[in-house]
This record gives sequence, structure tokens and C-alpha cells, in this order.
Amino acid sequence: MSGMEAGEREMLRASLRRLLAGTDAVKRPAALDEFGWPDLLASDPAEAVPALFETQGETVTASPAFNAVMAAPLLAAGGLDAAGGAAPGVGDWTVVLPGPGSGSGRSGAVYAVAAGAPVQRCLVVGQHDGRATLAVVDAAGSGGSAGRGGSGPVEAVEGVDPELGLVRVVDRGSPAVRLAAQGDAVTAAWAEAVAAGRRALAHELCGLGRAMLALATDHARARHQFGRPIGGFQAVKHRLAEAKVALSAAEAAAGEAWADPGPLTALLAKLWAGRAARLTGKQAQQVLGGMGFTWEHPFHRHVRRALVLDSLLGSASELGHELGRTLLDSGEVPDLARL
Amino acid sequence: MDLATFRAEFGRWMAGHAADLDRFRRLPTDLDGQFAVLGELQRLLFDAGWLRWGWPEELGGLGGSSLLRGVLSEELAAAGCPPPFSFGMMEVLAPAVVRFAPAIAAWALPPLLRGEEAWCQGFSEPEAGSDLASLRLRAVDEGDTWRVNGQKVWTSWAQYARRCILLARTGTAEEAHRGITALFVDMDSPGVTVRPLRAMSGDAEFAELFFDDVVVPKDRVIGAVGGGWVVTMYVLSCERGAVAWQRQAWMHRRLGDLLAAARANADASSAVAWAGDTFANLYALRLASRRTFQRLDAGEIPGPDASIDKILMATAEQGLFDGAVEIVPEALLTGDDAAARTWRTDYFYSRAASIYGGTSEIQRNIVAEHLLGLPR
Repeated sequence: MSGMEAGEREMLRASLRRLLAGTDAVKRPAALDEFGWPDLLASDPAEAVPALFETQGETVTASPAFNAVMAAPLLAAGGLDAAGGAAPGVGDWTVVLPGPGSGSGRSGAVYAVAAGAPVQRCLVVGQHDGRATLAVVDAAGSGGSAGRGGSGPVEAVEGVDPELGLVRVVDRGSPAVRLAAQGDAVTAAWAEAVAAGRRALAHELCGLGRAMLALATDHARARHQFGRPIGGFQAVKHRLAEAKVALSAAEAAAGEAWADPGPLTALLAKLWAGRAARLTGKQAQQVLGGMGFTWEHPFHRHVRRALVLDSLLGSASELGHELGRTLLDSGEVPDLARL
Repeated sequence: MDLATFRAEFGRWMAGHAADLDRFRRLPTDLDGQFAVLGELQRLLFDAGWLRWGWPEELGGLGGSSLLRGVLSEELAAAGCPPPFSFGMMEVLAPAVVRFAPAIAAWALPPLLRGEEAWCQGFSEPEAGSDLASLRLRAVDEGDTWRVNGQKVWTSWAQYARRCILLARTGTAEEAHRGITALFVDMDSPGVTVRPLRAMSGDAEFAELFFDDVVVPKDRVIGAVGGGWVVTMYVLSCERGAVAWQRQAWMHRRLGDLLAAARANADASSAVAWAGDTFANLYALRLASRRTFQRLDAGEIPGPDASIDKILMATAEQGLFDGAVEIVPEALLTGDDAAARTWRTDYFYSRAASIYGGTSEIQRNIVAEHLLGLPR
């Protein structure tokens, strides 16, 4: 499954960190393609996904790579794989997602993570006459950071986290839409895509959580009140220890989602990562005090990113409900994480 | 013997002995009765060989990975048999004796495995709870023997125990954790008094121990003189390995029982969020315990990471049995049959999960200081 040594893994992450820091959003898809990340995704996803998404989380950067992760099973189901089996580029396909709140039926709008790069073609999974459908929507390069206000099917969204480059996908009635596949194959491919997307988001949220905990821990060591570092007070220690416990659980769940891949371990990874990122955000916010409440401090960028990523493909609380319903419907306690 | 083969073969054996095992699913309601019946379960499992796997051959075992012991308790719990008390005791105390006092283990372990005797853990004192390193029970070197004076408290099942792993101060109070020695003491030694304490569950599951001029032979030191803290830390880490695995296996089983009960209730929807959260908590506990158990099996001593396991355990266990109050309130609050008593025992015992073996507050201090590097 994963064939990397610890040293190679570190080098990969360091390279990705430089790449994300050194390119602006529009050039990032081409830079990731040139780096060979799509090929690594195809050959060794258990290395490619944690390395890129944890780095994105740690550095609060974004790329459209999330689409490549989710697109793979959909492209296969739709017969849309490139000739010769070459891995598609990071910016080639954009996967349309249910919007925030859709897991609890509060929204019907659909979105995608464009991350500031132009959208070429969208993959849209929907329902028609009770059958799952996979459609390709030509967006012709709309939706990038400069592409607001056009007449295409994609419009940029500012929202709580403008840097993520979320786009809203709207049905304008007559864009170039092509049905690529329908039926059970699409249902199965979508389940696979969701599991893959949840694994990637879990890693990104773990990275974000680690970054927030590091900001708060550094502050707790450096900031003195009452003649000593505030990190010496138990009330502060315990908040951050709780965050560490949750992040540690989330990291273990993200790892297990590769060791024992499947829809349930992917759901649990996303659930724990969302939970840990939200809890860490709350604890770090309190420990950072007034400094963390300023625009100048980088903390709010993490909070904004965590709120949106938690909401994609099911928030921690939505997934908890989904899991609870599954358990109560079946009456079975799944036998995971066996010795 | 690999884990999968062991699991399959033990499963077949249990199916073939369903009638023999049935009475272990409905235990007597009193602690003495439970202890006696679970002792019989241990002997049954020993005689059939199952309990000997995962322990060294020279000590009466059949060899193999210690993880086999985890599979055994897991399969027992899945079949509805609560893990025998003695399993917990064995898992916590025996590995330390094997590791730090092989000469004692050679004669003391076989009767423990056979279920002929029980052991207890003399750690906490009235003035040394969370601050264990301030313990005062004193062992004085008298040349050929140690003379022991002092008091212990919260010692589980001491009234049934033949031996005690006893932490004693052999150095000065100022030496704190460096002046502690672990001794292997016979509970029938003159001068040992056991006074059972009734827990809030109603059971006398722990006791106060008094030591008045108790004489202990010099060859009963576990580890080095003054090296008792290493033994202590190892014992506590064993609580995060096989014992935690046993406990989560039982929690897994009880979650299944509560799901079944919730499905039978008119409005199962109120249990949805609880069911999802509880399973997620249990899953995190399993992942953490499995890693610690595997590290112990590989001969490593888990460090501060094991504090995370303990916090996850307390959270999962209390959340699970908080659910019992909502889902089976009538049985838990007003029932008097064996099933109702088991719910009550589980509920009350779960309250202690954030207290025993190092409180959640102490564990958070360890996480903050040793894993996050925050100042003391």
C-alpha cells in the first residue's frame, strides 16, 4: 500500500510545503502536475493524500487537488479516463459537492472547491427518475478568482473563507451538459468518491488542528501573567491537553482509514477530524485570548478554514447522526480496529 | 498460534461448550459469589489451555504473543461473559513480575494462571493518591529481612488476594519517587490486616490494608531497591494494554445491548446522536488501546502517550453508561434482577473511570507537560 521510508516521506512533505508557499493559487494546479502529484495519487494514494492535505491544513493553503481525489472513481465509472491511462491533472476536473447543511437537509445548493483556479469541467452526480446520474458540465474556465459575475454555471463565493476559493455551481438552464453514466455504477462510484474525499478532508483538518494547537501552545509558553507563563496554569493546560487527545484520536482514525479502507472508516476519520479541529479551535481561541481575536493574528484564517472543511461531505455532528442511524437500524456494533 | 487461528479455534470451543459457559453469563449478585464463579471460569479456561496462551512456557503458559490474551477476553465478552476479575489482576501485575523479578515469577506465576490464587496492588495511601510518589508506607532494611509498617487504600479485591505488589518507601521522603521499592508480599504474613471498603456500587470491591511490623524476606524485591517507580510506571502502562482491551471489549458488548434496547423503545430517534458519538468514542479508544497493547507486546514501555488512552477510556465509558440511564431507565433505576444489577454496576463503575489509575486531571497534566511541552 505505502512504500515510503520515513525520510522520503519527510522530503515529500517539505517539497509540497515549498510548492504551496511558492506558487499563487492560479498556478498551483500546474505546479502540482509538474511535481508529479497526480501520478503519486494514482500509484500510492496512501502517501499522496496525507502528505498534500496535511500540509495544506498546516499551512492554511488551498489547491484544487481535492477534486482529483474525488474524481478518480467517477471518471472510471463514466468512461472518462484519459487515453493511455495517464492520470488527469489537478485542475482538469472539478467535483460538485452538496453544500453546507445538506447532510441535515437544510440546503439544496451545490458547491465545489476551486481554490482560486479556473474551473474547466465539472462532474455532477445527481438523481434522475430514481437513478443516479453522472453528468459533465463544461464550465470553460469560469469561477477563478477573476471570474466573478460571468454567465457560466460557476460563480465564485466569498463566504466565511474567501481564501479557500469555493464556487457555487448553478443551473442556468442551457450550459453544455452531457450525461456520462447512470445507475448502480454511479451510486457505487459516488460512495467511493465520498470515502476518498472524506479521507483527504480528515488529513487536512488534522493538519489545521495541529497548526492551531501549535499557535496556542507557543503562546501559552511565551505569554506571562501573574509572573509566570500562562501554560503553567492547569486551566490552560487542560484545555490544550483535551485538544491534543482529540487530535491524537483523529490522527489514528485518519491512519486507520488507509489501513482498513471502506466507507465506515472514512466516515469515522472525517467525523473525528472535524470534531478535533472544532474542539482545538475552541480551546486555542480561548488560550490565545485577545491576540487571537484580532485580524492581524493568523488564527482566524485557521478557524474559517476549519468551519468550511468540517461542513464538506458531512460535518462531525451530521456524520455522528448518520452513524447513529446506521447503528440503530442494524442493531449491530461494527467490528472495526481489530487486534 | 496466530490471532485469527486462535480466535477461530476458541470460538469453536466456546460453541461446543455453550452449556458449560452459560452460567457465566448470569453471575451471582454478591461479590463473593461472583468471585467464586469467575474463579471457576478461569480454571475451566486454564484446563482447556486457552488461558495459557500468551504467557511464557517456563511459567506454565503455552507461549505466543500476549495479544492472544486480548483475543480471549474479547471473544468471552462477545459471548456475554464478563471478564473474570482475575484477568485484570493478572494482566496488570503479572507482566511486571515477569519483567522485573523473573526468579519470583518462576514460582509465583503458575498458581496465578491456574486460578489457584489472586494478587492485589498496594499502591495508593490515604495521603498519597494522585501524588503517589509521596507515599509513606515504610520498609526498613533489617539485614536479612524488610520490616514493613504503614497503610494502603483502594486496593481492589484485597480480601481475596494471596499476594500483594506493595510500594514501600525505602529511602527518604525527600527522594520522592527515587526512594520507592516494590515488594512481593504474602497477604497471610503476620501483621497484615485487610478491612474491606464498600464502594458506592454497594460492593466491597476494594479495601484498606494495614501493615504492622510485617516481615518480608529480602528476596521479595521486584526490580531494584529504590527502583520501584519504574515498576510502578510499567504496571500502570499494563493497565492501558490488555486490561484496557478487555474493558473496551465489554463496552463494545454493552453498546450492542443498549442498541437492542433502544430499538425496542417506541422512540429510538432520541438515541441517534448518542449512538453515533458513543461508537466514535469507542472506536478511538480501540485504536489507541490496540497501539499501546501492540507496543507492550513488542517489549516497549509506553510513555506519556498512554495517558491519552486513559482519557479516551474514561470519556467512552462514562458516555456509554450515561446512555444506559436514558435507554434502560426502568431497569437501571428500579430493577432488582441480575440484568438490572449489572447495569447499575456498569454505571457506577464507569463513574470511577476518570479517577482510578491516575485521574483524568493527572493524565491531562501529563499530556500538557510531556506531549505539549507546557511548563510544570
